[in-house]
Amino acid sequence: MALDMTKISIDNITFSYKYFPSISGGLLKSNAGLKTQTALSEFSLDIEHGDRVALFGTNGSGKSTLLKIIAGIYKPEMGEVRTTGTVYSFLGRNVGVMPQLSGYDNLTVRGLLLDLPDAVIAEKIEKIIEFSELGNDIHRPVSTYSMGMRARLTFGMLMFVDADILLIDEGLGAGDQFFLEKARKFVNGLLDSSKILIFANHSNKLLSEFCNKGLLIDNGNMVAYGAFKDVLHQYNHIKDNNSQRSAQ
Amino acid sequence: MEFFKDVVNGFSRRRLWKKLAVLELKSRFQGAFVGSFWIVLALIIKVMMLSLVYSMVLGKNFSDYVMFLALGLLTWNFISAIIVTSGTVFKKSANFLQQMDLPHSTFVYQNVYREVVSLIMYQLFAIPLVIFIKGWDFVGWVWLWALLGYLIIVINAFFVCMWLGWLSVRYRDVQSLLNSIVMIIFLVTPILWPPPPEFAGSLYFQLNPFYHLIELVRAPILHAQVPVISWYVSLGVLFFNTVICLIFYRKVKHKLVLWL
Repeated sequence: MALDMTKISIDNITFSYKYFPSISGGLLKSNAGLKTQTALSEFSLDIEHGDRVALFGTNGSGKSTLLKIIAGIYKPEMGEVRTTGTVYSFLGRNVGVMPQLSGYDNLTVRGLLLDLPDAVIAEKIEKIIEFSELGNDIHRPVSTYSMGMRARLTFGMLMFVDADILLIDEGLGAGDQFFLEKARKFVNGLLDSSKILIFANHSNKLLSEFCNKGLLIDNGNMVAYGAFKDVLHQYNHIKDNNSQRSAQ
Repeated sequence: MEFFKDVVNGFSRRRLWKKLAVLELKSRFQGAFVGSFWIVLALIIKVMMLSLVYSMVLGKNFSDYVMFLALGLLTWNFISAIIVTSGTVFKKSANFLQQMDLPHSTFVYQNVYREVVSLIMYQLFAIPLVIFIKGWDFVGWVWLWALLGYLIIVINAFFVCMWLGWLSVRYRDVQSLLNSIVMIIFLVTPILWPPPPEFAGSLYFQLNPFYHLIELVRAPILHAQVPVISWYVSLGVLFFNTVICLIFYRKVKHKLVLWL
């Protein structure tokens, strides 16, 4: 039984981005000045079932990169990531929403991306419309939605989830207070003790709602991993130091 | 062999790429009165206008020329659309590729499927036009070779779209080049004008793979002939495109998402 438990093992991974400086290249010189930026360096971590991990770190610290590597989107140059259980990634603010399409079409595409059977997609969409309270607006193009409606639609997409490991990066807006309460109930129901959540969000309030552990990353290195409150405390300390330094 | 695994895995996501292709076609004509029928209407207008002018310029019989042009142009429309859109095939899908680990071929299937739907719509005009001009007696079993020709063109399109897609993401210059190159190929390939009989065997035509690809369709329908040399060339081109994909897939597999 223990063998089937959901788990993520990150073993000594290193990953770097290669990019061109803003103005470079030209005729036969596309490789001119190719730079390398290390995003994660010799990073190791084990995340066990039942862990709901809040990812802390300043912008550019390596949070999104770590989530993309766990999701299998990026392959590390060195080291290995092993996951036991199905992974669902919900990354970036737009999370694959196509504004020219209706909310309904966007939900259908999301279901198809997850390779769910048609009947399951139809059934889930019904539930999402009810949950997100979008009603007939679901048939309007998303480009005509208000920010709040977009946040509801994006959150509704989470209802497709039937995975053991859930990775969320920024995708969820707070929405209005009433919806947040509904969302909290839903996510709590979604994550039973056998599942893992890794959640990166700039709202500490949202993180404290859903997470029991914290992981603090700075410059591609793990600074702390442990109880949510302790790591949040360290993160605030780093942020304070940074703001003092920039004020000087 | 990893490449073929990608091709098979991508095919198994056909509900996704078919849906994306159809939504793309619909959104292209969102708010238009005649909707996606514009694809056919635009071709009819183009063929008619060009036939009026060029049958006169080239001193050809209008009804013969209009058939020649319609078949050549609709096949070329498919080929050129594939080449031009392959420049954006992965860039357009960056949103999905940066979200999940999906087979590259998923989006190539989407692109090719969308253009095949357009190609089928073109046929709603071209084939009835030929039958209208020449009558039912003109239809023969040899036309099935044209259908097989389309099959080879579509399979070729798949592989070309894949490697041109990779190349365009890696080297940003490629996409801008594609539009210009397509226009040059259109002008130097016998699409608007039939090759003059005294130069039909010239290397200028025989070395142009696009001429052979179009002949796969034109020769069986217009001349009831199976273009043997064109078949050899087209299969050679298919082999070349497949080998290019096989060689480069391993190199780009994990890097594509970083280049987007």
